[in-house]
Amino acid sequence: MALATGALCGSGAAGTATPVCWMPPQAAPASSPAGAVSQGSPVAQEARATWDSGQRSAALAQMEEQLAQHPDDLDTRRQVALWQLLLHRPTAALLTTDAQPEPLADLRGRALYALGRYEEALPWLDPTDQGLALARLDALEVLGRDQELADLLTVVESRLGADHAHLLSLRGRLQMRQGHHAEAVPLFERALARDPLDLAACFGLGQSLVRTGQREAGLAQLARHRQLVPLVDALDFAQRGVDLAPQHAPSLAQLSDAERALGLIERAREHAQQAFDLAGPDELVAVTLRLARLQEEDLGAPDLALATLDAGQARQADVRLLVRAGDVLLRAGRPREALKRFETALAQRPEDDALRQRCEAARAAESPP
Amino acid sequence: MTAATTVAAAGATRRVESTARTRSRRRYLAALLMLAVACSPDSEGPAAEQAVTRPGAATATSTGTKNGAASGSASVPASAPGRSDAEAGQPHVAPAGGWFDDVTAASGLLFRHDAGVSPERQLPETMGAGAALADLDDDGDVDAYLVQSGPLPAPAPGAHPDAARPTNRLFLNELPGVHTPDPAAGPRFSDATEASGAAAHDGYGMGVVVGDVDGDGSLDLYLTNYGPDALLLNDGTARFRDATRSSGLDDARWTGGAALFDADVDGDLDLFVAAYVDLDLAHPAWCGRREEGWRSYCHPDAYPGLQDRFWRNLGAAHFRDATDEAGLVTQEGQHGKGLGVLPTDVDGDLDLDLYVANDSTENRLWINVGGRFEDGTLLSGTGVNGRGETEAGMGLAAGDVDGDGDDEIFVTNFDDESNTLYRNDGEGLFTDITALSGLDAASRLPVGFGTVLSDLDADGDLDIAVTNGHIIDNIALYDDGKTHAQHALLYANDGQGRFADVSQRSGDLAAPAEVGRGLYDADLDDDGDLDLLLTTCNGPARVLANRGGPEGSGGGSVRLLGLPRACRVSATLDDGRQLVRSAGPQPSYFGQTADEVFLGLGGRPGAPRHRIERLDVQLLDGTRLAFVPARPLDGGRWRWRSEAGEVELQNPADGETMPATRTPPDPDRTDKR
Repeated sequence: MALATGALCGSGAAGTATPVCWMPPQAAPASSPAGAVSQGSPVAQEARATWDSGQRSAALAQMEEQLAQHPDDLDTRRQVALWQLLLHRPTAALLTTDAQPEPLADLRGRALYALGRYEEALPWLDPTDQGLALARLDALEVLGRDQELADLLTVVESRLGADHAHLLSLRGRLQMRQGHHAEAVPLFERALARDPLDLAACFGLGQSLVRTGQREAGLAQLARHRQLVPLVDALDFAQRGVDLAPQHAPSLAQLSDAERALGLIERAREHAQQAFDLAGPDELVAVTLRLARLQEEDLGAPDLALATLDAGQARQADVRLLVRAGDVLLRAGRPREALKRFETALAQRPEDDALRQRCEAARAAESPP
Repeated sequence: MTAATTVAAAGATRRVESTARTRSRRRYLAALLMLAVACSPDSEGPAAEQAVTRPGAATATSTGTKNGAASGSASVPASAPGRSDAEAGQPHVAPAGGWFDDVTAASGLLFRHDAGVSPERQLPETMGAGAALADLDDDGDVDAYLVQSGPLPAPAPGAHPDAARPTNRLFLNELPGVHTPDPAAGPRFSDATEASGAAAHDGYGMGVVVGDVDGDGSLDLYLTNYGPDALLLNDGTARFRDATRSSGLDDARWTGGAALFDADVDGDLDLFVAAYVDLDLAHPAWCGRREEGWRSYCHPDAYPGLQDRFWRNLGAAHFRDATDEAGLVTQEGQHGKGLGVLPTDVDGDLDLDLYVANDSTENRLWINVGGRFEDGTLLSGTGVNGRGETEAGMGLAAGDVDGDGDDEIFVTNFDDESNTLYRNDGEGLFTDITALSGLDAASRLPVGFGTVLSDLDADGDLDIAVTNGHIIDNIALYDDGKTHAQHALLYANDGQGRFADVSQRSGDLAAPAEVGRGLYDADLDDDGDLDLLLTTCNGPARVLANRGGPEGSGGGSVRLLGLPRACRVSATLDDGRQLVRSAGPQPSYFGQTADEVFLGLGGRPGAPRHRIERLDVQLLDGTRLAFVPARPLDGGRWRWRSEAGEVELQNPADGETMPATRTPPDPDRTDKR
């Protein structure tokens, strides 16, 4: 079964069905030497099931144990190294590939790249592999080897298409470094058209506009970049949390928040729903409130929000959910129902002045002047 | 249209392209905060035990080689590209024993920083503290003042001193025959703290800046603390009194980097203090896994930033908070988390602008316009790196890296971020040339702190040294491949602004792994080359003697002392080249390098030693002074002397003088330098 690689894939060229990922998708089990553990073995299958359930570290530990018992099994070694990389453990992945570096060249290159050992990574980053080529381009840029970068960029563009956001951004920065700011402007514009969250392109466009005498437009672009940076930072941070623990409700909720802040409402809804479905008793209220807010405010669906709040209340009775439901009803023009919720909440918190005020507001809305 | 609606309107369905270069400095925070909420069995387990070496070097257990490819750090090219003079192609040769020797024990500068590490894992414990190199007793050599921290909380100012609590320390340089150096002797320090009065300060120290704030000719100290800062006035003999209250200075927040500089060109030193974050010691948050040994330090993202402050010197060490009138106010919610402060004239208009390195938020460049500051960050491009990413800036240095007469800015950053070199393109514009300069790759893994941008091999161009060390003492549990103690980095400039990593030849500088914080340079043993003082967090300070000087394999030098701060010096060499330097100390991290202008003349084996035929100095008020020596200079120290409007440079060793020819300032003060 294919491993979800969402967070590790780059935007593909227009019309490309398969996104270009710098991490390889989990391959189907390969044939293994007799006596070795194959990926189709019960152990491997059990580990995969553990991984898919979200218990990624436990799954990795299972496979590491198998590898220790069967050090010659290439398939197991590959799986271990891949999962180590996906769990952001590049040093461990590098060590895992030590015993069989050539057949695991792609993972070795990725590990070295992740460790920032770009010079060492280059020999292992096969430029004919689409994902590795992107990493190779990045490494060349970091190493300041612009001529090689330019040569490879031309080759990769011919494969992936010249409309690939990451490549456009790279090409734009290359032009800037060569002082060709006017040429850089359209490249960054195209990159942003493909990926409005490409911070490098956003910044590059602003700088290029300034350098070509379009100062006001450049400053406006840079101001937009300045607004975006903390939002994209938050998204990146939240995604990492989910990478490590994809079944962890608070992490999913945080990812949803970050996506919402960037206007990625459908993705935000998806992750907020997942968080709601997975939330434990201690997490449910906060997660429910988030999802309900998104449904009401961003999707314009108060009935959906109400259903969520009621479902949350059924799982974990909490006065905050009652209050929020009342607020939603009041805003939706259903004051009588809102009042019922508020009064129920007030019965639990008779000293709460804010609740009293809500009751009064609901009564006032029910009896127009 | 906000950024969010712009994105939504574009109908983006962005898939996060999380290449490894996406800021993985967030990695440990993701782990820590997530695990703080719920210790899930799904959470990442302990990282495998790994021996981590310096970036690029082969590990003990994994060589990373393929088909014979090099596995070590980038080697110095046999023929450095771009050199146009006789030294083109000359490799940077270090003495057999390495470029720097650790002479701490022999020097007598014995100091150990106490971070006050506690079970509560309070963030101030990670910062380390700074130091300053300056002639505090005015005897012609460079002394050292080291800042101490100690247990938290620190005692209130004026409280009865706790004899058991460690204090800041003053070490006076006692060079034998200060004007007749004995290179073999090395620097000699004596601990003069007991006699230094208020310099034996017992706050929870962060940093120190040095300058004559009361105009009496002696160098005073401003101390930044977690807690009340302090102004200590020098009586001229390295005895200090606490003048904080009478000065009008009043800042009890968490401050770090600071700068004394003449913002309004009125002849006295104003003060800018960077404030860090608002943190409540009494209610420490738990960050990290809730298991024995796993509690860790919270990321500064968990705390709000604070407003930096600008204090205008009204004369005689009296200050007024002029943050608002100077235009240096940032909006609530947009305060930076200031660590480094660098006054430097970025636009060549004869006033000092301010660059502030912020932790995890964009850095700021404040452009000085007649004593009032405007935010030039956006236009300059120096708030973020060349890919538009914010970085966690710590240490700062400025200097003319590419030899075009203006100063570049160098910032040290966190792990998974490179240090960043911004090339000054003029007109307030900068370009991130880190990768082009060869400074990117090796600096990504370590956490950079103190840095110097100095001519460490005395060959006429500026080299770079960085001390590194993580802030999380148990980082290895959380982040595969990271360590708390890290190695320093040393880069040699090829003369064209491209750097080679020569850390493996740096001798005792980069040999040990340590939790490095401050790094400051000065000619501590008066042998004509720049030595280093290095401070560590919760560890010993180190004194590193440069063996690349005239008696080693390095070049000769001319040193200029006592120049007015921020004046611009241009030395014309016998081959027609010009070396351009700004006078004044550099901040590094939480401190100051020595206030001297160092002009390397070359002269390594096989390379000619150049001579200075002329010195031109431009002051902040536009006055130009020209010094033409009787014979070209090939070495020596020269001290600035000004009396009754007459200026000269004097060699203290033999009394020789160089009078200045003065050109008054142009009435139009907007002329560029």
